[in-house]
Amino acid sequence: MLSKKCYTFMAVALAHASCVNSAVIDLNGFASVTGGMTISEGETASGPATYFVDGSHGGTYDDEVSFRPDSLYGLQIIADLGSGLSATGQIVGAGANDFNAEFNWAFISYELTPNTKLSAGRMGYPLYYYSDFLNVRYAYHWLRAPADTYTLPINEIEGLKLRHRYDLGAVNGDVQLFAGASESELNGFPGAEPFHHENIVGIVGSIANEWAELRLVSLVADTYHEDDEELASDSEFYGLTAKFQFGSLFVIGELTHFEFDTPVTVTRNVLPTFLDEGDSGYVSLGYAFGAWTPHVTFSARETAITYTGFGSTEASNETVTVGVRWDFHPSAALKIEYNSSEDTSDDSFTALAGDAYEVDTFAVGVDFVF
Amino acid sequence: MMVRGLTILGAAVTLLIASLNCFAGMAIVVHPSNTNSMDMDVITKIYLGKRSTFPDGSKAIPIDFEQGAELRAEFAKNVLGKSEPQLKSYWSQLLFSGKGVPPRQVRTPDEVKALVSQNPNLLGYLPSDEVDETVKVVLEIQ
Repeated sequence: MLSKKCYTFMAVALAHASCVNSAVIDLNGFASVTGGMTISEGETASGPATYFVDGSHGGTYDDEVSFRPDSLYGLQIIADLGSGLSATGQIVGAGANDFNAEFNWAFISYELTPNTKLSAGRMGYPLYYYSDFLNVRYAYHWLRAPADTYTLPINEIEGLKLRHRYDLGAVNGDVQLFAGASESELNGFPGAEPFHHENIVGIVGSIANEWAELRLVSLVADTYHEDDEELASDSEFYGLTAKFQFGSLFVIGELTHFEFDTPVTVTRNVLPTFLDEGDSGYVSLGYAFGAWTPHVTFSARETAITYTGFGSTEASNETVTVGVRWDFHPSAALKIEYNSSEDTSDDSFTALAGDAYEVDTFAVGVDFVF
Repeated sequence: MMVRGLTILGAAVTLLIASLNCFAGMAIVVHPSNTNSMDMDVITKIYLGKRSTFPDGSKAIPIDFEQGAELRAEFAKNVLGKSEPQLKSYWSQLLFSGKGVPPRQVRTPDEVKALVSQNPNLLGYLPSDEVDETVKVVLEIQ
């Protein structure tokens, strides 16, 4: 028997809601079908040069066409339980992980006021500007967010988030406080092992007007390699993003910095490696010509790493990306993208990486939302 | 004779102008008991999920048309300042990051009137010539 409240919701939500008892359920999804390959003449000690695109799942392109590194699908279910309470679950399957469905997020939210929401559970970790919807490629212009900026494979936080949305007329935005714990694995790194972040406390805020948006994030945590809880290091992360929209032209730039007060062990297996600190960033420019949006991006990163036996070094990378997005359908976009990535590390690092100073990658894909 | 000729000419010119003006005008409507006065900025923010209350603090729930409806595209362009793909990308960002859900969608102006006339918290838009006494106009867009 459907309740009266249910009828009201149903009348308003014709398209994709269904009624179960007195909860309204929304099901939405996203997917990317993308293929690519590297075009490079360099060789490393272990074979042709590769392009590492996804820190979370280890997606890597090589000189044979592959649909794995960038293809993925996601499903999100939101149950509106009434009285300001809702439950959200998100499942993602990445090509680089054999398309196995993984529970990305599962959390409940409560509206304390129309502009303040408290969430608890497993949620997105808002490190970078695009972190919260990184997998929803339809939502941004690139085929994938700059791989050398979006490096830290820490995607989820288990804990609490408090978000307040404000509107002062001339400017509006939000402020979020978050706290909890997270686990990550530097997939794609030789011999990667999990490392833990605990006692995470952070704040992220944004302020925007009609043509500009500014975002700032700052967090601290205790980070340690799986077996080294007693050797936990104080870690810090900061990020700044500025985005501008002038009619059909948009410009976005992001800068991030992380550091550990004592270098954190990344792996013990192949070669004991310690992560010290790093900076990364990009500037991207695009212009919308009707349904076509060409764009160009410059991204770079620099990470201080210590390799036992080899000493400290700085691994750095610079990438130029050129691409175009074509909105050929109301719910789908075609993306074509070319990256040229150059390893600009210290000689001591490249001695390990081999002769792959530069690797170019070409990829084409279609992003959907449904 | 002259006056009649001019009247006919005047009518013809008016008809010509009217037929050239494809965009006949939109009206933003609310429940008749809603006493809020709103400007374009407030309406835009409600439809983009940047605020969820009317100026008097009461809850504001926007209603949109389904994808493919011509008025939806015009509203997106002229009021929200976004093309349809831009609007879809914008809502994808909010929806999949758990920050908000897009406005509920209906198919016809009659549905908008039926809903808005029954609920003081709803906000909708219609072609200007579809407005009747069951709803109250808060803003007209030419």
